[in-house]
Amino acid sequence: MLSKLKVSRRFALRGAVSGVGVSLWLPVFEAMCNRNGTAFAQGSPLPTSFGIFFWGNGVHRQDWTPTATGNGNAWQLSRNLGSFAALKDAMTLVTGLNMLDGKFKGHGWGALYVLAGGDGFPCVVTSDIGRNPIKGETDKSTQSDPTIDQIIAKAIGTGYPFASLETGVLPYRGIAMGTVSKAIAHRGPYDFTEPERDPKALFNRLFGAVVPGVPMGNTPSPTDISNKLRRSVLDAVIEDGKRLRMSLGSEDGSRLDRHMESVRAIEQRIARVAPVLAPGMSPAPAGNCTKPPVPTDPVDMTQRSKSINRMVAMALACNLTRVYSHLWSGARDDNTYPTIGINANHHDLTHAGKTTEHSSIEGYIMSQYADMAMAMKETPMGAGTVLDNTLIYGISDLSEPGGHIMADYHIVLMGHAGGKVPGNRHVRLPGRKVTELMLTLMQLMGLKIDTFGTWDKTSKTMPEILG
Amino acid sequence: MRKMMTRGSTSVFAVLLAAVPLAGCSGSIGDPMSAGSGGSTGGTGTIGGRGNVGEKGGVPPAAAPGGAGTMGGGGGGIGGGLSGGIGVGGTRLRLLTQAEYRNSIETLMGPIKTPLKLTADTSVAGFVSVGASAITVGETAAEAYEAASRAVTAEVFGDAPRWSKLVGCQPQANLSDTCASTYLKALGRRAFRRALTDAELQQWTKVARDAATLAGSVAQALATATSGILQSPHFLYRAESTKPDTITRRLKFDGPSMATRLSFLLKGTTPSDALLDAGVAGQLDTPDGIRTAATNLLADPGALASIAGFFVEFTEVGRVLEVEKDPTAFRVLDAKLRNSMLEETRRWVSGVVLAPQADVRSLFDSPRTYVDTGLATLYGITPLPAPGAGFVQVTLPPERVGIFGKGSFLTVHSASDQSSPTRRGHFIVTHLLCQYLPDPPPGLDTFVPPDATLTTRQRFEKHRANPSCAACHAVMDPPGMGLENFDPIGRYRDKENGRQIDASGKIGEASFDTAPQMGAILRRDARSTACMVRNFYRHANGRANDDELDTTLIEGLTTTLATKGYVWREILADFVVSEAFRSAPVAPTVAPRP
Repeated sequence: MLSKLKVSRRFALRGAVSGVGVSLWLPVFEAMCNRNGTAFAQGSPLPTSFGIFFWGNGVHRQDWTPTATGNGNAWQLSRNLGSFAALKDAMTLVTGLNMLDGKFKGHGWGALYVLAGGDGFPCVVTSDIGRNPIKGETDKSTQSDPTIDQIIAKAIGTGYPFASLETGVLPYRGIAMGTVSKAIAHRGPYDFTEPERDPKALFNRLFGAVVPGVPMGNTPSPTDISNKLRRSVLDAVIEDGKRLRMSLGSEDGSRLDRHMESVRAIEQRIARVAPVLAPGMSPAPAGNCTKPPVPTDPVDMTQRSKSINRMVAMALACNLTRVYSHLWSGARDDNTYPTIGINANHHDLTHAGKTTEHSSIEGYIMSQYADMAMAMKETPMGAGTVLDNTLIYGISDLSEPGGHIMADYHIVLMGHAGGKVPGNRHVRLPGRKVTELMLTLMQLMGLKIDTFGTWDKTSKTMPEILG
Repeated sequence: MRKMMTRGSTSVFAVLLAAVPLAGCSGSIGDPMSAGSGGSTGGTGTIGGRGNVGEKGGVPPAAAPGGAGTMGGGGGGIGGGLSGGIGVGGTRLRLLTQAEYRNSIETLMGPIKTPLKLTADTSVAGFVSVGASAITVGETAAEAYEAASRAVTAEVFGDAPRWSKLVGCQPQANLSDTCASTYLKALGRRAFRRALTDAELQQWTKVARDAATLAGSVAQALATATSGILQSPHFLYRAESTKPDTITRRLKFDGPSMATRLSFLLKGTTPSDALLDAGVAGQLDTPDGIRTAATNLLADPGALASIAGFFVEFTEVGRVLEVEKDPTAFRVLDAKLRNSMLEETRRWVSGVVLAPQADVRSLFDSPRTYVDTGLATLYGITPLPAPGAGFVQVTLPPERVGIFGKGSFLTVHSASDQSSPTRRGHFIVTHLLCQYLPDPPPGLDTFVPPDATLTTRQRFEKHRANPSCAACHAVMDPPGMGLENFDPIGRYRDKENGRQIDASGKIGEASFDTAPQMGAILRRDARSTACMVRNFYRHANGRANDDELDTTLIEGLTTTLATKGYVWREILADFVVSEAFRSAPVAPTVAPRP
C-alpha cells in the first residue's frame, strides 16, 4: 500500500511538471527486492528484455573479425568494434554463421532471414529470386513470417504499455524495398510497425505530452478532461471498427483487427492501465525510473541516436516495455554520413570498392550501438544495470556487402540476459546457421519452442554463447 | 505461369531468359532451397494461394452497416458460392495514401495550415496504392492518425468564425438541439463516402454531447467528435463494396463505391456530395453515367495534378527530393534545386504530356519543358528566366528530350557519385518497357573498378567483356548508355575524364546514337505504351497481380489508346467505364502471395 501511495505522488508531481499526464508504469517498490537487488525477495528474477540493433549493408570482415576466439583476454576487439572497449565484458561476438548456402540472395532476403528466419515475398524459394515477372525482388519485399522481436513480444511483452517499442535513426531512402527496409518489427506480411526516428516524438510517446498540436480553444484544458475526451473518441473508433469488421473477409478482417488493436493500445496507455503481467513476470524495481530531459532538436544523426538510445534504456528501467528493436539503417541503405565526412552513399560505396569508406561507416554505426549499450549500462536496475538484464541481437542483412556474401555473418550480442549470457566471448562457428542462434535467443527469453525457421529450419541451438 | 513476362518480348529477351540461368556471372546458380517452404506455391505470378473467395463469404446482410443501401451486398453467388461485399476477391480495404488523406481532410475541413505528420506510404510493386491495399496500421501509424486528426480539429475549432461556417448552425451549449447531429450527419457522409447508419450517427452525436458536458465547450465538443470521425476506419479506408456479376463473373462495384473510386482516381480526394448522390441514385451503374461523371471530374482543375501524379510515381521522379548524392561533387544540388526538378516534371507532365490532344508518348521525346532560374542554369538555357519569374515554358536544347532530359529522372536514376548506365538501362528495360530481367546471380561482385582515365562507358564495357556478365548487361547497359551525356544530377557533358563521350546504344535490336534517338525508339516501341497502361491499371486498382482478364483488358486499352491518337485523357474515360475499373476479379490478387 505504501508503495502505491508513493508512486501515485510521484506521478502526480510529474504530471504537474510536464503539464500532462505521465503514465509511467508503477515501478516496484524497492523494498520488495532482496538485499542485492538482483531479484525479488521471493526469488523471481528481474525482468529480462530483448532488443534488436539492425544496420544495413553488412560488415567489411577484414576490420571486423577478431584474430582470436575464446573468453576474456583470450580475444581482443577488432578495429570496427573498438567503440565497445568499455563494454567488452557484455559482448558475445558470434562469427562464421551462414544463411542457407552462403551465396548471394540480395539485401532484402538477408533481412527476411536474419530477422524472421526466412521466407518472404515475392518468392518462396531462392531459385525464384529474381524471377519476379513484375519488378524484381525488391519492391514487393515484406516479411512473410513474424520477426523474432514480435514472436518474443507476444510471449513476454503482453501487459506492458508497449508490447514492443520500435525506434530507428536513418530513414530509408533507397530503391523501393517494400516493408523490409523501413521496419524491423513485422507480425506477418505487410503487418509492420514503422520505427519512431524523431527523438521528440519518441519522448512524447514514452514520457511526455501525448497531445499533439495546439491546445483546444483559447485556454488549455485540464489534462484529465483532454484525455477523457481522447478515450471516448478511441472507444467510438473501436466501435466503428467492430461494425466494419462484420462485413469483411478474413484477410482484411485481420488487417482491421491489427489496426483496432493499435487503437486499443493507445487507449489503454491514456487510461494508465497498470500492467497485467503474466504469472512469473515481474516489473523492474523502482528508483531507476526517471524521466529523461526533453530532447532538443538534434542537428545530426549522432545526437539523434544518443538521445534515442537513452530513452530506450529508460523505457526498460521504467517498465514501459520488454521488447525493443532499433533500426539504425535499413537493408541496402542509401544514406550518406556527412557526420563522419563521408558523402557518398553507403550502399554505393560497398559496390565501388571503397572499403575504407564503407568500413568507416560500419565502425561509426558500431559506435552508436556501443552508445546504446552504454546507456543501458549507465541505467541501474536493482543492484545491476539494464544491460545486465537485457540481450541485444546486433545484426545486419548480410556479411561482406561487396559480393553480397551471406556467409560468415558477424553478430554482436550485447548484455547478459539476466546472468544467462556471460559475455566477453568470441565464438566462431563456421557453417552454422543464424537460425540456430535465433532459436537460442528466443529460448533465453523463456519461449518454449524447439524448432525455428522457414529457411534453415532448425532444432539445433547454440549453447556456445551460454554458461 | 510466366506468360506475363514474356508476352510482347522480343526474341532477345526470350533468349536471355533461357540463357541466363545457364551462364550467370558466377556460373553457380543452384537451388539450395529445394526443401524450402512449399515449392508448389510458386512465385509471384501465382494467383490464389491463400484464402478462398468462396469460403470467405460475403456480407451477411443483417450485419452490414447498410445505410442508404450503400454497403452490404451479399447478393447471389456465382458458381461455387461467390458473393460480393467488402474486401473480398480481388478487392481490399484501401488505406488512404498520405496524399489522399491530406486531400480528403482539406475537402472536408478546408485548407489546413498545421503540418500533419503521418507515417510514410508503402510502395509495393511500384505504387503506393498497391501498398495501401496490403499494409496494416501498426501502433505508430495509429498514433499518427490520432495526432493528425487532433491537430486538424484543434486548428479548425480553435477559430470561431471558421468552425461556425463549417458547422453551419450554432448549437446550444449542451448540444441538445439538432445542430450537432445535422453537422455530424453531413460530415460523416462525406467522410465515410456513404450515409451514416443510425447507430453511427447516434454514437458520434453522443461523443459530442458527452464532450460538451465534460469540457463545457461547444467548440471542443464538436472538435472531439470530428477528430473521431477522422480516425474512424470508415474514413481511413476505402471500403469499396461489390456485387457478383453473373455475366462477367467479376465482382462489380456498387454505385457509391464507384463514386469513391472515380473521385480518388481522377481528383485524388473524397467524392463530392453530388457524386455520391449520383452513385446512390444508380447513375454510376451504367457506362454513360460513369462517362458523364468522369468528364465532369476531369474538367476540375484538380484532376490534372492527380493524373500527372501517376506519371510521377511511374517514373519514380518523386525520389529526387531525397536521393543521396555526394554533396562535395554536386554542391549545386540543394533542396531548392531538387524541388525545382520535381516541380518541373509535374508541370511538364500536366502541361505537355497531358495537354489536350497531346500524344502521351511525348513522355519519351518532348523537346519542351518548364524551367526556373536554377534549372535553366543546370540545363544551359539562355537567357535565364528573369529573377522572380518562376517557371517559364521553354524549348530545350536538342540533346535533351522527354523524361530522359529531366534533371529529376537523371538524378534519381543514377548512383550517388556516377551516372550508372546499368541502373538507368535497367529502369528503362524493366519499368518503361515492362521487360523481365533476372536479378544478379549468386556470388556476384558488382564492383566496376574506378579508372580516372576512362569514360564510364569504357569502364562498363570492360566489365562487360566478362562473357558471363554480358548475358544480362548486354541488354540493360546499352539503353542506359544513351543517357551518358548526362551526369548524376542531369547536367549535360560531352567529355568525361578528358575523353569524348559515346552515347550510342540500343534497345533490343534498335540502335541509336543519342538520347533523342533513343526517345524516338521508345516512342515507336509498342511495348512502351502497353507498359504504361499496365502500370496505370495497377495504380488505379491498387492491385499488382494481373489475372488473365486483367491482361486482356490491359491489351484492349492499349489498342484503344493507339486508335485515339495516344491522347491519355481520351483513354481515361474508356478505362473507367470498362470492367478494368468497374469490377474486380474473384480471386484475391491484391498483393503477391507466395
